[in-house]
Amino acid sequence: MFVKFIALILFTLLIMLVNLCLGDLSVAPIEAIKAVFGYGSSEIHDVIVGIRLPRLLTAFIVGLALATSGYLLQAISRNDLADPYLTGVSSGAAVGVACAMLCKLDFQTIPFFAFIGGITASFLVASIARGNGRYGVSVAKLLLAGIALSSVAGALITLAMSTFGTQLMAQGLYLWILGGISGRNWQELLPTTGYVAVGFIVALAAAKQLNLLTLGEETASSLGLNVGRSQLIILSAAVLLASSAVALSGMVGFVGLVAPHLSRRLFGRGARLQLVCSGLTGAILVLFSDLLARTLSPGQELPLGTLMALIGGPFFIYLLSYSLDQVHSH
Amino acid sequence: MPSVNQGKILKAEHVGLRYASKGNQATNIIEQINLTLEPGEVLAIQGPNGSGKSTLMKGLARQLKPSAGTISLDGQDIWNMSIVDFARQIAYVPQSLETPNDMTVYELVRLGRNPHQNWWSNQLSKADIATIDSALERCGLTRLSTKKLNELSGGERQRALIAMALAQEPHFILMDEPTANLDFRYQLEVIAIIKELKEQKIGIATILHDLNLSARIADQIALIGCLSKTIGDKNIADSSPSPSPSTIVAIGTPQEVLKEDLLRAVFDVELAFVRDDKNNLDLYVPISISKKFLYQKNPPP
Repeated sequence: MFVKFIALILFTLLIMLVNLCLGDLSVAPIEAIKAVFGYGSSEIHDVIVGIRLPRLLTAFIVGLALATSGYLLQAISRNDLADPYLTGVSSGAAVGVACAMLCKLDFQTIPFFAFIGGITASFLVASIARGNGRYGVSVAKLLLAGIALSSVAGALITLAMSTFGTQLMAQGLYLWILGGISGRNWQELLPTTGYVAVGFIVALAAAKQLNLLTLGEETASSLGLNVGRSQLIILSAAVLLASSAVALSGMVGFVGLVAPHLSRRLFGRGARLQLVCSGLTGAILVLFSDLLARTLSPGQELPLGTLMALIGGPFFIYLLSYSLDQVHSH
Repeated sequence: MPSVNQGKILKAEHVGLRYASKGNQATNIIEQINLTLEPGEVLAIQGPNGSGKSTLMKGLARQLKPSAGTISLDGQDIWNMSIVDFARQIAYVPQSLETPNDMTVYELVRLGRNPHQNWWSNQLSKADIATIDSALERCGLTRLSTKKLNELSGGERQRALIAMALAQEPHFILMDEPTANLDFRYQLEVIAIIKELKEQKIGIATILHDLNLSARIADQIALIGCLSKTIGDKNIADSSPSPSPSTIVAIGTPQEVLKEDLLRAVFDVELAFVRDDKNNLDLYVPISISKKFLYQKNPPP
């Protein structure tokens, strides 16, 4: 277990280094590390510290946030197919971001608007999925409500942009929605990192509550857990994480689905362990996808969201068809 | 570790409960429930399907708020207690539990310590570990503690759920059909555990379908049913869950409650009674569905 965990951390560092080195201008690892610490030529320094390092950290933050958000949503809905993208939370956050952009608000406030949009969406979806059942949510309803909400959200964004926005703005928003992390600078990165840190710490503090909730609401409450309050706190943390990621990188799907699954297989259960491991797994996934996005076709960049969908979509179908019945055992 | 349980009384007074089951279909309504449960006592709840036994259980387990009356522990309304305080005194064993795929017996049972721990802490104290070990041992699970729950038999799973409840060190344990879907042997295992808990002065309320098992372990039997339905009964098909309210038709010792006329009226069946002198038992055997039967005697107050 411990060895696996160390391996995970080393692998994360390794892929970060690779991301730092590879690109249109390839840099030797030692040069790259030198540049990060302020040594070496100024040309390399500009590329590494000015462009690649913020991009790398963005990828790391986005991956970690989406994966832990997915893990949290899966835990509170007791449904292994939950993910911020599939449940419509990301779409809700995107509406929030679009509104903030339309109103030409400061970038610092964008994660806040994303959160408002995300939490609204999550309440809508949760109330639909819960339906008449007093306890628990229906898997099918959760996903269908997510799809429906995403469609409405997409339509709202398009409508708002075509009515109020300039063409330039619409273009920018379109690129952002496709999911990308290029051109993020330190001013955009730092405040969002703060939001992600808050969400992550809240989630870590709620590890015990997460473990209890895996037994279902009824049993968790008979073990002395205030179920409603715990769910609200955990959901808020999940939405904060997901909407921060959306504010930073647009709609990148499936990280929140794939990463917790991989991490569960590799590292076992337990909420605190899972939060850290699926967070790192998610970071690796996004770092790897971003590496592909930058290097697959030289001189041109593929949208990150598109690549993630290529990887995550089939994985989702596999989960749907193969392991849905085995999600929980009676 | 037997709980010190002197003087605790779980009491329901004039309790009414409403529970809309899934799909907005039948609404279970039970009314005027009066019962008391004392330490070391076993209360068996009996009644036909849909009569509201589980609803009553949910009420006692503080999962469903009464629409009338009060349920109190030691004179204090259970809804005025904190949820943690309640969980330290009353444990609930569900009929079955969906657990994550690879959860082990030990991982499940240790969650029973939750009401005794800080809200943030996952760490087990020495006392926690001793309590968990004792709970596992009392349920015969010591050797299986590292096994995954989905590798267990139905009987072992049920015992794991009881062990989790024991880890709460409660004064009372409420069980929702602990013998459902178990074969004879496993049913008897559960019964043996209940008997042992009784000796340790834990009060137990349990739903049991088997009249003979109830008669053997219960100090009190509460028979839940809906008599208005039986009066003027025209059609057997009517005996499906109905929206008319149920209540406790009879409560008392097995000898007082398990009477031919009462059972016939509540369950709509003809029963045969067989005397087993060797084991000093009265055995009840359902023979056939009763034809029109009118229950006229007033239920005992």
